[in-house]
Amino acid sequence: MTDALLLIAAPVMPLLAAALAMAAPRRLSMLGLAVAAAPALVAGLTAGGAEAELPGFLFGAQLRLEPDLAPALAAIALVWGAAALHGRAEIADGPDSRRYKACFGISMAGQFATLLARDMASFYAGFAALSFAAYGLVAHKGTVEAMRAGRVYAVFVVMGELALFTAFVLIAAAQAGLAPPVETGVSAPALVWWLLLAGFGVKAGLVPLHVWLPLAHPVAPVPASAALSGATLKAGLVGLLVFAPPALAAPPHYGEALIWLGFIGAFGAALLGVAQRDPKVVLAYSSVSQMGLALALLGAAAHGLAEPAPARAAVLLFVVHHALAKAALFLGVSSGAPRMVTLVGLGVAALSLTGAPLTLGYAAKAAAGAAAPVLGPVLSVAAFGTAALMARALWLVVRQAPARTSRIKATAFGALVLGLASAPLMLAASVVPSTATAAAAALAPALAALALGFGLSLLRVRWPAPPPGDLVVLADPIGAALERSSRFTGSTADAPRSAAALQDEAPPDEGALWRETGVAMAVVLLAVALAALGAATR
Amino acid sequence: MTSEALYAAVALALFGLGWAGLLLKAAPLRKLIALNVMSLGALMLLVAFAWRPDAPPDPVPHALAITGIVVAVAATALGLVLIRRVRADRDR
Amino acid sequence: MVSPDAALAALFVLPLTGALAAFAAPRAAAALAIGVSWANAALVGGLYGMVGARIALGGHAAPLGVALRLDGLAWPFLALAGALFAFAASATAGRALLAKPGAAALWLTLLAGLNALFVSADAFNLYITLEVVSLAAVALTALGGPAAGAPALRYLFVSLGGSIFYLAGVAFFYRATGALDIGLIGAAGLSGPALAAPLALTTLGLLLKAGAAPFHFWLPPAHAAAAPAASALLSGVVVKAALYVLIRLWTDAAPPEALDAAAPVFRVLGLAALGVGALGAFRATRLKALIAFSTVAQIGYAPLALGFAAGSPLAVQALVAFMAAHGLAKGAIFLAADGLRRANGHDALDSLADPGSRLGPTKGAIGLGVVALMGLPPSGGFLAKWTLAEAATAQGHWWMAPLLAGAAVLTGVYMLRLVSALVRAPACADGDAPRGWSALALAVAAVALGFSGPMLSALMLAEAAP
Repeated sequence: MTDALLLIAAPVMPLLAAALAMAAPRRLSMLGLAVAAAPALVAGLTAGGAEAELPGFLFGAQLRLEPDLAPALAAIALVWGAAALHGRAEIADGPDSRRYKACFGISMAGQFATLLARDMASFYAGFAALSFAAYGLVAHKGTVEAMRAGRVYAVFVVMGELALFTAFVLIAAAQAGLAPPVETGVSAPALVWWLLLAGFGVKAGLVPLHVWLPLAHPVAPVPASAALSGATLKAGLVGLLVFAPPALAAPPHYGEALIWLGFIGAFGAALLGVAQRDPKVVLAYSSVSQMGLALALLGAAAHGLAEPAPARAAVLLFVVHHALAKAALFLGVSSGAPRMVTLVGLGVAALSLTGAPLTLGYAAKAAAGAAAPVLGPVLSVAAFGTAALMARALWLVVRQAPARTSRIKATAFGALVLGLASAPLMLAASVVPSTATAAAAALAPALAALALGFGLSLLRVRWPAPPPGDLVVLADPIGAALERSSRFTGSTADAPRSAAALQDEAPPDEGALWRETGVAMAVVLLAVALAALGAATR
Repeated sequence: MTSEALYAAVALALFGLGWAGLLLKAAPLRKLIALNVMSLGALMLLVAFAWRPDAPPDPVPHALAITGIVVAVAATALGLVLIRRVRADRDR
Repeated sequence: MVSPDAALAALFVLPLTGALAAFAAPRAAAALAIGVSWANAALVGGLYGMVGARIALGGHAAPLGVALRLDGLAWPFLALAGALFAFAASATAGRALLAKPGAAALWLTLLAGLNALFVSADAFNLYITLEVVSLAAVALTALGGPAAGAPALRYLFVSLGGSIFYLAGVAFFYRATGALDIGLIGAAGLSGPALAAPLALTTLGLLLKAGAAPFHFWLPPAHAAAAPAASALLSGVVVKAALYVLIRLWTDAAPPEALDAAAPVFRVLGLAALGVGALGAFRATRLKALIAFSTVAQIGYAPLALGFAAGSPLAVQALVAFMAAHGLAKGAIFLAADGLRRANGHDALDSLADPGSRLGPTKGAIGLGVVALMGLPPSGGFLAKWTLAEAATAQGHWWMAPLLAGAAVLTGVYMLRLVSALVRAPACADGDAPRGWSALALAVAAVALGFSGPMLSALMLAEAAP
């Protein structure tokens, strides 16, 4: 009973906090957002396997916390809670902050709903709430760059939602029920798989649908970036696990495509990211790279190169790990803690991402390698790219002016680092390499990156930074043309139109309107009459 | 030709005439008159359908037609008021 | 326990008595209209338990008597009208309108006409009630000021023309079946010209009255020129009255084969409305014109859903959800737009400014209203879209799912023209603008309709029972 209440409270509390934020003033409401993550966190830690129902919601909402999803829920709840807490110090009060808080709460509620929903309508409701409300987080600052990033994000999200809505309706029609394929075991038609890949790919940063990510992160506030990268990306992965599960037979070429797109993301993003000059852009590319690995793992499972069950477990472990590590790294960009403490915390998170021994990252990498042995070499090579990205990001953070100390921010940062460090114990994950060779191999990327970074900084090498958002640059001329041709992009207030221009609305020619209507009347009259006649003769 | 068919044909002709007037006449007053012609056509259709081959006429359509006439009168009155108002607003 | 006879009769006796009293006592008229609107809303709420009732008024049976029927299709429309009239009357815009001479009596007459229409069981009574609704609606439109005269006149012409087509269709129905009761007409099992002629005539008349594309040319000027509270009723429920009769005819009077055969026509009409309405909304320069064109677009969902309703109660359910969600959301947005206009002192779309935090409820109403119009979850619009997409896909028309999602995007893009005013600096002084609680209540209801799925299903099942 209590567990059921926890499941219902998980998405409802953030919504209430969002409503409170609209009504109540000042910082209290941001604290409310942090508290609102608590039910989800507690549920994730204690309520694995619990079920609940909301009979009146849409077509009757079914909530269930799969036991293997519980750690992911806890980690993601911790990320949202820490980001909310951090935001309490980071986001200046003002009329804009209400909108930010409302969007933050709705996004959070949406994400918790996606992790708990066991019927497609509720899942879609949560996913759409997350997608649309996150626009407010991306575009919060209202600068030219933020509005551009917001537009790019909106275009991708809208395309993604189109694909998902279609896919869900097709699934519902194919199996005559709202339970997701992971439960029914009914494999949807090929078209649905591709639609799901497109829809969830946008959220998960699948190449080439990732371009909104490196644009959004530098312009979003620090806590919003932490939530976007740490939490929302995972909605795409979890979505694929639930709707295109590894256990079902995928259509031809689906697995191959996912593997190759994942590889391109894993390595391409590392190459592009290491040359960036903004630590948050570097971290964003690192997310694309990491998500590429996870997607490649899903692809391997779809292609028959990995057993479904271990692959699912590995992806979920990856979700926990990347959520905590990446959110900690983003909050570390403006940690509010003393410099040395910040560096230690960032170091822990960075080492974990490279898969160093004794970290959760090691366990995640080991699980992935065990699930899909073919991916082993790729994971090892990719770790070097990750290490380079981490070295670059840390270097950029060290060089920036230290943020003002803030106990609130430091608490949020510390909670994430502690969560990351203690997760191996709580999950009983094996983080100790069995052999010395394995230990050396796991440590090598970090050491190599340190050495390389040290060398490059001695040589004072400078290289050109590719534009964040890479591929989207190709679309810029189109975007500019669209902007010129439309009057309603929203960021700028047009000059008031003259009274004469407003008169245009008077209809041109009354007589012509009536004549056209007459023709239309005759056509419709005949069409309906002929149809009814035709029905009779059938 | 039965008298029903004759009446119905005339009713449809009136209906069509009114319809054409509604669409083609520009002046509001003419449109209103055209609508009245059209509505007469529809009501006459009811009267025509009251005809029964070897029995007195069916009283139901007659009752409907009378009700319809009342409605048409009310609508016409509202139309006239509006036409006057539009004119007054234009002349002001 | 009140007998169903008295309760159903009260649906129009109460507002009609109120209208007479308002006519007789002009000073108390506004208060009377507000009170009766709320009493009616309560009455409709109480009628939920009587769904399925069918009575012959005063014991006179059909054909000359007046038969009333309260079924699962009628109740949602009664509830929509009840909620809209109550909240619109209490809103500042509503009180401003009701203060005008004659407005209160027209207001209550319109309510009586709509209520009677929704419970009428025979085709001729539907004609009479359609006329009462049209005449009261036209007169209310004309109260919008000097600029409203010409649009109101055009509205009258189109509406009268539509009624006459409908009446001619009823005459043919009577000729073919000797019955006026919709159920008896359906039971007669018509086919051939005897079915085609009346069906085509009534359908054309109702489409004209509903402002469904391509017969929408009268709608945006009339809905934009009327007083804000009247616009909320016109867009929210008056156009739905004609659509309601259309649903009745095609689901109860016509055989499913006929609807199946006419489905492509309805689909084309629905898609045309979605396109034409969106285009008009993109090009509108005034706030109310934008909202009125959005009505043209949203009306399109009715023929579109009807195009999949042959033998599919699911599509009818979707249609009802569309109508209810749109009615509540559009009422909310028209009322909220009035607050925005008062705060800004004008309603030119491109230069509207943020009215500040005192108008929070108004802004919330617009936000939630847009969510419901777009059909984002968990609003009633989403319920409707999902249900219709599922019904269509089950019939092999899977293209409806991306199409409906695309229509939501289109709605979002043109509604962004309104929403962007709310985030656009500088804030304008909000003056004496109302805060907008009534609008917010309607918008919340439109979103909360997402929780009505089981109730709607139950109502539709109640309708299926004999």
